[in-house]
Amino acid sequence: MKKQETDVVNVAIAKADTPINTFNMIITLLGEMENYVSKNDRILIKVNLNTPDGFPVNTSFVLIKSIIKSCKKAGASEISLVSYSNMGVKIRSIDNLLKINEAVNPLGAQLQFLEDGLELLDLIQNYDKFFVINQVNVDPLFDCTLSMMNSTKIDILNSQELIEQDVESDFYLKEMISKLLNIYEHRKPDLIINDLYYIMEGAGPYTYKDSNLIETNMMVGGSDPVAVDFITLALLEVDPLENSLILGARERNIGITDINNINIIGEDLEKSKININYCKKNLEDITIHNCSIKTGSTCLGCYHVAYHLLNIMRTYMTKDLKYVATQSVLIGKNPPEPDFKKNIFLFGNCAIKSTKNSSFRTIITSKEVIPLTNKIKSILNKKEPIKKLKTFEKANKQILNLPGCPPNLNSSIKLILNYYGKQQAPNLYLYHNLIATYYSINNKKVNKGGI
Amino acid sequence: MNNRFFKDNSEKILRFNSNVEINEKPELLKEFVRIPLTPIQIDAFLLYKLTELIYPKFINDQQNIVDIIISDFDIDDIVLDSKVYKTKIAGILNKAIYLPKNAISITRNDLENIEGLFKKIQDVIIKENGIKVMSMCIFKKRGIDLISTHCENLKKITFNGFMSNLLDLIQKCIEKGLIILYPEPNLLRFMRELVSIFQDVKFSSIYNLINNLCPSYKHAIKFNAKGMSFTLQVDKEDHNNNVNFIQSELAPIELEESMLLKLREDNKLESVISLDLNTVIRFLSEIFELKVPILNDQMKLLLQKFLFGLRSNETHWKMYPRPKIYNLFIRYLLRLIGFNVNLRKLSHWNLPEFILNLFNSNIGLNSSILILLTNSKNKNIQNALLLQFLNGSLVKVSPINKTDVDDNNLDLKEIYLQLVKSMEYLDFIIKIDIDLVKEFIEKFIFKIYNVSLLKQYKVLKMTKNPRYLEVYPSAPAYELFKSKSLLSLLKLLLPIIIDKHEF
Repeated sequence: MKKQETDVVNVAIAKADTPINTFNMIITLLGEMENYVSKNDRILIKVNLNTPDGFPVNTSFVLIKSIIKSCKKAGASEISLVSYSNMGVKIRSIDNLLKINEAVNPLGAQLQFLEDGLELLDLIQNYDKFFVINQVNVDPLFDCTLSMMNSTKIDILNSQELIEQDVESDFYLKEMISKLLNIYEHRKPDLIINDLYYIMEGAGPYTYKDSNLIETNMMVGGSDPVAVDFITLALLEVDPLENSLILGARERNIGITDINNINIIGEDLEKSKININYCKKNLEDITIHNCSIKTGSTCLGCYHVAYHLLNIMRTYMTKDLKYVATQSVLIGKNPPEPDFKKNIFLFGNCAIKSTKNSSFRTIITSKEVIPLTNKIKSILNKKEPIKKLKTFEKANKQILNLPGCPPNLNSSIKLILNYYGKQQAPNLYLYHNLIATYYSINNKKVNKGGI
Repeated sequence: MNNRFFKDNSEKILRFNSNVEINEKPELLKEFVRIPLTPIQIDAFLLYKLTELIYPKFINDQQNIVDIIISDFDIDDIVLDSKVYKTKIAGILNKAIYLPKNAISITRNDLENIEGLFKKIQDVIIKENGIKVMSMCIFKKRGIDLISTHCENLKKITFNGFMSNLLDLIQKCIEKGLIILYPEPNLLRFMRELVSIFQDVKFSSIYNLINNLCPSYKHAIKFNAKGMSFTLQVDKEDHNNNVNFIQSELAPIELEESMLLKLREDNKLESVISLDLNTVIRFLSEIFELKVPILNDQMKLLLQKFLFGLRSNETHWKMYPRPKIYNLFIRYLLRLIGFNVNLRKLSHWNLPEFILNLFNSNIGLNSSILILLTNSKNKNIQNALLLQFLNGSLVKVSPINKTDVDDNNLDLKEIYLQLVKSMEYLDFIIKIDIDLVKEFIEKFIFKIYNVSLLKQYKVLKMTKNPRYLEVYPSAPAYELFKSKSLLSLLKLLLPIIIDKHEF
């Protein structure tokens, strides 16, 4: 491990009555925008544009407008917004839908598209300053969406299937952390703001049935991304030194991970702590009507995708699951036997392989039959034939494999829809059509009948 | 102090209520009074029965009330007038006992602690009059003046004028705290919270807007309750509305249809709806129990109940003539071509949750939506309302000054670009043309009993035309809506709206 940086950095915690006032207070606490922006600076601001959905899946546009205005006032000559999307949808498509450029162009800013091979790291080189404005929501992998996330393309809906990995090694998480921190190894942002004014709790970072927005009136800001995320986690009563992203940063000596080297200004950290409901760590705790969830040893990749799939089921499939009546989802290696033998979804390669010899794979039925000899005897003796109980074994065909490690979320939804059919799963069919618009928006036409 | 017109009517009601107690058959008294604060004439006994039923549910179910009128300006002794109503049945007032001038003393500071003030007044009245009052109503003098002015105008103005005045009066009294009730009924608290959401939007302007969008009609709603039945005839002709109470006879269930058809023929009505009054009261009291802004889960529950009521045709409500959509042959034909339109299987349990979840994820948990009611013929904006949502709940409705929104030939892009500069942030603009709204209200509500499905289909088709309905910037759900033909959309949505089985 490299030697830890020892410089003391300032991290500001601000609390006010509106998001704009809280942002202004953060900037005041950190010493005015002029400290961060020099005359004619070209500024690149990384925001969250995850999907074409509304707040808080994406950064608050009230905050984006405020920071653009502040930068302009401080003398910035060019301001660009940039983001990676999360659901495989292109940023250009999000802009086509939400008209972000139309909203920010009059203020003198523009949205850049990280597409066609253009990476954030390449783009940063052309700018004098790099700011990160991050919306904090709960996240199944990292407790909450930290500023160091959203710095690379992570497409959980269409994630590339990885070569099957050992569950213990958590390759998925390590790979993700490595990708996320890569940029910070080359270039640190000059200003980071974690927006907690409104924070999504319960289920996130996308809006699901259990998602709930709470108003904390707070923001955390500073110039060291690791320190800002560290304090944000501490504020949310999470031990930062148990967070894999912070630990990853510590290993790579990217920023400050020692609270003694962080000078907190503004609100008192201990008095401002926020208690929120985090994402369910145990997938079996996600309650879905008429659906039983059983998990074995699950790698983080499968956990991550299964978390979203189960939340989509919980949010959109209430009616469908009432129609199908029983459904079981088995996740991970060696999951317990399902509660029902109908509609069993085996999520991930581990679940598929480890249940090859499980009893739910076969259905045993017994039937009273009359053997031929008994039949003849009965005709000859003119008596009732003697029946015998015979057991039949047949393969359970009501099993759906969702392959991959982790399985691709989009393909899984498609497979489930094909399995049930649109008559039996009308809500999922509509959701599927809706997701199709995410991709087809650039072509300005949605394929009729869904994707 | 009170307007004569108001006072005479109140005294008439009090006299009648006293007579009811000593009369064996009060229903035969055949006296007519006005419903307080309205020009609507009603059989006094019907009003008595209605008050007996409604008052305990919405205002207070305890006996004996004290009414106090206080000054708006004084500081020390602010009581101007006070009286006690001794009631046997909650809400049925029959005789007022005027209290001496100095019997009750209230200072402005007392109003800070209403509970303490009530206990103090309760003790005084028990001591002086031997009556234990269980509720208190404090009117500020300004409130009484407003009520007097409203009552003075009742004789001169039309029904629509009266409705506008009444709504303004209620809004003003609640907004300025001109009426204090203790214990505070849910209705008053609900209205106060509602008023705070509708900032600068007058209830009367909403009423007038809705009224202008409605076609001419002549309908009747028959309410049935235990031992009581009455019909409310509502009609609109040449922009003038009218409401009449008709006392109806209680009929056995098997004769109800013929009775309603006779009522329809006798009064030349377009349609008659029969409703169970207790169900309506229960639904309304459940609404008033809710805290405003209404939380997402409560809204889901409320919509579920509403949709359940809507699907319970022939059980909770009846309409004569029966709407064509309930015709078995028409439904069978529609089923043959792949459309299941059985409103009795409306998915009341799933639809609210599905729609609200979709709304929250698509539009966002916090959002600002501008609704533009446009007139495409004149190319102008008729109304502009900004709706603000917080955590999926509607928290603020405010009018946008028409001078702040240039019509820009109703080009939403231009309007959006103009507004986004001046406003903090605007998520969406939804443009709805009044012709579409008018057609929708006519074909799907007022004339539903005899409108052909083809005409309804044409109205739905209007929604595909950006001249009548447009959203800017777009959202995935709107893109999906635009990209599909109306028939494909119906095929996609009907299985969600209508259940396959009875649940």
